[in-house]
Amino acid sequence: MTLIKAENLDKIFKIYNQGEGIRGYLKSFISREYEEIHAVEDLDLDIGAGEIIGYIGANGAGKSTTVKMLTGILEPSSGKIEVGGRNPHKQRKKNAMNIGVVFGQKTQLWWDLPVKESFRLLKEIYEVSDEDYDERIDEFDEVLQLSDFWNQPVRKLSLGQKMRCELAASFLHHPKIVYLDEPTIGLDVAVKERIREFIKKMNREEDITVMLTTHDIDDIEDLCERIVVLDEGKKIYDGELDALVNRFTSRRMIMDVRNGEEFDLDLDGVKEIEKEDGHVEIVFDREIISASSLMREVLERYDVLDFQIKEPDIESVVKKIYNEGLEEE
Amino acid sequence: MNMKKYYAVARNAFKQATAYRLDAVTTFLSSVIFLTLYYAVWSAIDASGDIQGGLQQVMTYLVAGQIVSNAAFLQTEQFIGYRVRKGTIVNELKRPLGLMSHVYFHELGWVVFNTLTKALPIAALGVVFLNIPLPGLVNTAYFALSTFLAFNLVFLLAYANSMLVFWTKVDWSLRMTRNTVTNLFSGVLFPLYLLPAGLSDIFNVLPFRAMADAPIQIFTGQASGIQVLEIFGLQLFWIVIMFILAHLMWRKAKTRLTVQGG
Amino acid sequence: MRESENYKGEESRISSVKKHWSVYKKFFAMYMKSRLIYKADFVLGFTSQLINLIFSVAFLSLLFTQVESIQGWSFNEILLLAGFSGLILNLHHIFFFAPYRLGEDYIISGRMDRYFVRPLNMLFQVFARYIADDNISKVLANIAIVVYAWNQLALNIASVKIVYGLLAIISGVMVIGSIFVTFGTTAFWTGRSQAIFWLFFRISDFRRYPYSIFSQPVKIILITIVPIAFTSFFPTTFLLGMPEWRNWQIISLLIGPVMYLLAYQFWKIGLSNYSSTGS
Repeated sequence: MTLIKAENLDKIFKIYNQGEGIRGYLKSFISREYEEIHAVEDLDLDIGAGEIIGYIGANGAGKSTTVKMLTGILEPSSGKIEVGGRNPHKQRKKNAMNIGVVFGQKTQLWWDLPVKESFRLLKEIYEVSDEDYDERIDEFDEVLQLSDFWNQPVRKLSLGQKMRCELAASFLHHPKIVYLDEPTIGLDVAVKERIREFIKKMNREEDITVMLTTHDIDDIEDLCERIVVLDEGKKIYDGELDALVNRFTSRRMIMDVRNGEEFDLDLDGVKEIEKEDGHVEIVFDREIISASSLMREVLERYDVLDFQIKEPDIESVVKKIYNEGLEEE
Repeated sequence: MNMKKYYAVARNAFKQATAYRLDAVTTFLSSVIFLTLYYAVWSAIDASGDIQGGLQQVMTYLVAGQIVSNAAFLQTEQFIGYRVRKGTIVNELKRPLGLMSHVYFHELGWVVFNTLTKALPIAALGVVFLNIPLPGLVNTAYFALSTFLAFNLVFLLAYANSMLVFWTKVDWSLRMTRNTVTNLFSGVLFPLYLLPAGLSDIFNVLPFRAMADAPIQIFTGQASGIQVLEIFGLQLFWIVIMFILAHLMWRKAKTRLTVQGG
Repeated sequence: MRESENYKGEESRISSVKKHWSVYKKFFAMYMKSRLIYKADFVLGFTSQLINLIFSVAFLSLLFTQVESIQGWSFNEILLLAGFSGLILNLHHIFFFAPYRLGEDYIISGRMDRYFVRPLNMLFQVFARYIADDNISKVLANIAIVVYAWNQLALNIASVKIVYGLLAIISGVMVIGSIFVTFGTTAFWTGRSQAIFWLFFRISDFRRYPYSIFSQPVKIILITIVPIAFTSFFPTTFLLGMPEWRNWQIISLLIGPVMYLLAYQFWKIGLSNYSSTGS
């Protein structure tokens, strides 16, 4: 069952050049100079209940713009958008009852007051009943251990503690969809794992759809079965993570080799060799030849002074996919 | 040489001030609105009775008051409050100039800016629209000197007041209170020469008279000859007292700062 | 697989007004709680505003050392004017001051985005977040001034005056509210809101004096651009039993809701501009 549906979604921004000082301030009332930016272009999305989607792309690719349209903040320039059967911008409040959002570092909690006060306010806003509320907080406490700092003012919390609260706050009211923007950034490994546990639990037990924007590869690998890749406003990949990883299977082995200018290797699985000043970069397909086998071959032939294996990171994956298009070998 | 550093601080402040062009215009217009309001009020008073000395003298006094307050009045609490909140105040302590000197020359830069962009235009406005008589060349020089002394006095009071920021976060509250009290007791709001006898004794005991009424009297010609010297004397007297107060407050604040650990 | 039995339905279950009211009570309580954590600041704010008011009354007294009446208005009549208009102004400020900081505190900081994803009215959320509690002392003091002046003038406590007074307060708060919302909304286009408010703060001083002493251009400003004559002079003339201003006195009761409705439309335009340009 489709929960989030977008068709031919477009978002064009007009950037006005605002001058400085008084003249600039007054001019902003009448000036018409602007340039157009196509933040999101012809985007199609079809997300069902209970999915965890990784929404990735370089900065400025249009991820946050998309999320802002789905959450009702921005109005699309053109195209159709439906969340839970509603237009999120036109039926903002009704849509808001059923979603949770974590906006990266921007907190939704009251700075000077104990955590529990912020939650009581949210209880009021989202009309959570008393029993449901108590149950929920206990349930959250099991995984997130909120009771450790339940009575502490938010300003005294560490980043990890704050993020645990943010997450709990966004799931408090049994939303159907939760939008998470960089929820694990800057956190240590233990907290990250706990947060992922929590997200998986909520998704599993309540069929909550999660749309996760992240740069963290571990987040993606642990949580997302499906990822959508954006580049410069366009969707360039939409499918299972495994398929994406398998499709882009090239790894790089970077070495310092004696007599590197003459380096050559003719093996199955070696896709490309780049040479420069004794540095050699081998792009290889790990499905065909493993890193250790490759290394053995190289060592038999050459004197290797130093080497490194480079995994593709998200940014290079995206760039790579975009440059080579969706069809690969 | 230290003077070079001081000059640099003042020039820096002047440059910073020029970036706040919108604020400069609005502050100037605030004076215009102030004079518009009280021209109407005093005209109404004049129509209902006889003002001692006449309406024109009142308006001259008020215009002079706006010239002095635009040139010499400050927002020191904000400057210090901001740095205390951000924690950068500790850096100021380490500077070779010392905090008070640093703030003094910073404010001096602003005074020059304010004089050019607010005080002088107000004077021009007063002449054109309210027929304010300008003092002669000599008295203008005395007026400028007295206004400068007034600035020093205002600075010392504001600085002493700013020290309270170390105990509380709300610097705007402190500034507002000082402004409110100063505006009334200095003559900016109400011409002091119109005070009934009993009240004027109280006003005379307070330092605020020396912050505005003193230079204003030179401007309007109410004080001349040896009275001008008396005015300078009065201002210098209060400057000394305020200087001591400011230093005491600073010492207390410093201990508070070291106790808190910055 | 649904987990809990009491899974909430898709829509809000209580009426919008009721919900906003109960949420507001919570906001207010939380705000006051967090303010009282910094007791020194609270006391200082309370006190400095009180001092401010005492000094303006002192200034009025000084004016009246020069003359018995200003254009027919006695000291106590002017006191009533200052007190009543101050009551309206500061009552507004306690609850509806927030638009003053719309640009700096809400739009630039990104707080606005958070408000979109909450099931509450947008303007409501702007108001609810900030309570200018330092005006509480001024409201109390102004009430005291009104009571004092009323007694000094030996006015009768006719019920029609009480009713009128209350309606005038409501309408007056809405007039000032509409000014605040309108000025604040410009921040959607200019990015800053504080600068434009200086005009209001300077002109609001005019409320303390009888409208009739001003020149024509000033009078026009006081009933159009910054229409505070409706929140001070005209209602006070009713309380003082001055029938020559009757029409204006009636308009004063009606103009609040009208202006506020217009301001709210402007706010919605600003909001939709935000939604199309993303600030």
